[in-house]
Amino acid sequence: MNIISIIIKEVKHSFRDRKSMAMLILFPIALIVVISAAFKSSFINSIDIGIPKVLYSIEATGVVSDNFKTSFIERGKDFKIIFKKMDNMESAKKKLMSKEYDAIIEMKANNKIEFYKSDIESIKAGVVESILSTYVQEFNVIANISRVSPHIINSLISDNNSDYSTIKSLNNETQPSSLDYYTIAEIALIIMYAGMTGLFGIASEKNLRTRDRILISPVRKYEYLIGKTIGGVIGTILQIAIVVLISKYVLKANWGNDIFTVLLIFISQIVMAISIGVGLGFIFNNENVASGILNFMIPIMVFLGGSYMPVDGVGSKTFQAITYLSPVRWVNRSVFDVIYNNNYSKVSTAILINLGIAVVFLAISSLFFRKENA
Amino acid sequence: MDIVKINGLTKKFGDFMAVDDIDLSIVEGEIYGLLGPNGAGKSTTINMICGLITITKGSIEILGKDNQKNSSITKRNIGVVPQEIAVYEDLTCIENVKFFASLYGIKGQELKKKAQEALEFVGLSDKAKSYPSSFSGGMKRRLNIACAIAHTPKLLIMDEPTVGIDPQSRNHILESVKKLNKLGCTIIYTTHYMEEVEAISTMISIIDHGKVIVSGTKEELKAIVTDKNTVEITVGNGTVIKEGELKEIKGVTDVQVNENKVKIDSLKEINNLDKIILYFTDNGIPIKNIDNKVPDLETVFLTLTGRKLRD
Repeated sequence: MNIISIIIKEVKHSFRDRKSMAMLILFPIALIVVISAAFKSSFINSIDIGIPKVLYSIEATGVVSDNFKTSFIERGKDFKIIFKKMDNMESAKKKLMSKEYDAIIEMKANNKIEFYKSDIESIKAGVVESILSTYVQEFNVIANISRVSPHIINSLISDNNSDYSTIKSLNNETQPSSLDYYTIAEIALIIMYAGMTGLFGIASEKNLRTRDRILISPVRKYEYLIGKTIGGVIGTILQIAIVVLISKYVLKANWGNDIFTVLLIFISQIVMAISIGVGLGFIFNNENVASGILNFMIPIMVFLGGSYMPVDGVGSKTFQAITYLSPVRWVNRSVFDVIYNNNYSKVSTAILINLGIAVVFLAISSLFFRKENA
Repeated sequence: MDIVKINGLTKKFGDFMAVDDIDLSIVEGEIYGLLGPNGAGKSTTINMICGLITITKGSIEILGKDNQKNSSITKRNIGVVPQEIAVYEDLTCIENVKFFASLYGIKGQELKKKAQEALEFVGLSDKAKSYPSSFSGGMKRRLNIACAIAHTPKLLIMDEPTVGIDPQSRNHILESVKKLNKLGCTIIYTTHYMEEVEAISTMISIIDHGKVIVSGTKEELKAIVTDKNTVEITVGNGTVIKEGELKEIKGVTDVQVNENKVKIDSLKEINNLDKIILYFTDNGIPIKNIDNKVPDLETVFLTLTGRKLRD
């Protein structure tokens, strides 16, 4: 009963404290909107270069030229390239110069392939060139294999559908946009600042002497500690829930298909953040020192966690290893894995790290609290 | 019956002896004044009585139960009005009172009723839904009291409840203390304002340097420091006073004339004021003012410690 009374009071504080409301609701929404707009270009994964148009001629005859025709020219649609047979080289070059076509491919009688491209439309021509290069390399691999095992040459050449090597590109639809990324990243950031709620919850009760008043009543110290922590956690969950709803339904950020797991990870982070704040509130008698330490710790943790900018694949291996020292890194990584890769492998680790840190700080709080006034 | 019984109570903070071997007995129904200068050990004693800090040595019994061993039982019977205004500015009056009362196990309709009664008692029922941030210092002090009495404690401890407030609010609080006492609440009242203790206390202990210097009723305390009554009579300028004639009045031990003021000391056990006044009227000396110089608790403290209460 005492714990419930304290929890209800804490939740009331959360929603009546204008600073806390601004910090945990308005600030993250503004942050998401501003940062995602500012870094929008960094998150564009593809550009539309249009459809390359290529003129070609095949003078050679035989197995090699047939394969070139069937495996490259006729599969132009697969590569999103329009191939058109040219009449003569002179008129083809004119069409290339006039930007009517982007490249010319000529297979000579000796099976040698000549490639001509326009300097002006270099991107489209470059795409064609690299696909052609890939085809040639693949063909050379087959030719080398045939030298070692000539008996399999026909089966290799006739096997048009075989994937000897594959280029797997990430699907654009399952990659986060800047809004998607910074919605998650900024919520993870702002949750860390909820640690201030835990700290000020402890410090303000001490300064106001309301804590003494509570402890004069039949409330036990552990009830006070649990009530303050759970109250802070519930208050923050409700405030963050508002941000989540606005980001999902107003800003239209992607929360994936399993929002329950994502929220579970965030709730564990809230428990950790509040517990850190509560712990520092007990460890340090001076509130300013405690908030100074939090203000020093949080930017480092959220930077390593990727809340300022993505850190995946950034920097050396050592830097990557260091990023995983931050609990925020585990939160962000596991959330993005759940939303975009349907990968749950890091969820339990992230939650356990958060709850582990929370337990450590609550144990420290309990220890310091017990020693007070003894 | 003793509602509080303190034996050999001692509290040390490191090498500093805050409370030094105190013995006190507070009888049910009393308004017990703890008088002493700042830092005398009053608040430390109070904090030990209400279980906020541990004791170094000795024992405290509340309603016959050791408050260290049965803290949750003894705490239910205690209400504390702290020296500081300990209320939440972002909770309304009624929310503040209900919250603190709920910690004593009161809930539902009873909680609401008791909270309203407490606010009514301190004269804040019309401000139930107001936030304390808009209150004057006196109103906040009254809310501070409401938060301590809503659970109807048998023992109310008031730690300097009138610090920094206007005379009107102070009178209101002192009247409230008397009213609560009449309703059956035993009160421990700590202050360094001796006028307050004189006005409301039925028993007084004077504390200094962590020790109880003296305990008793106010009359008993005053009797300790003086064995005479002093009257100062103001007469017209240039009036001739024959000191010898005054000294002949039964009980008069000394007469001092200073310009138009005549200071007359008499034996405490002899009531001779009528005879002294008769001397002046019989001799046609008009009396402008009579001041009966009764020793106050300040004098008691000064006599016992050599210091003033507010030094």
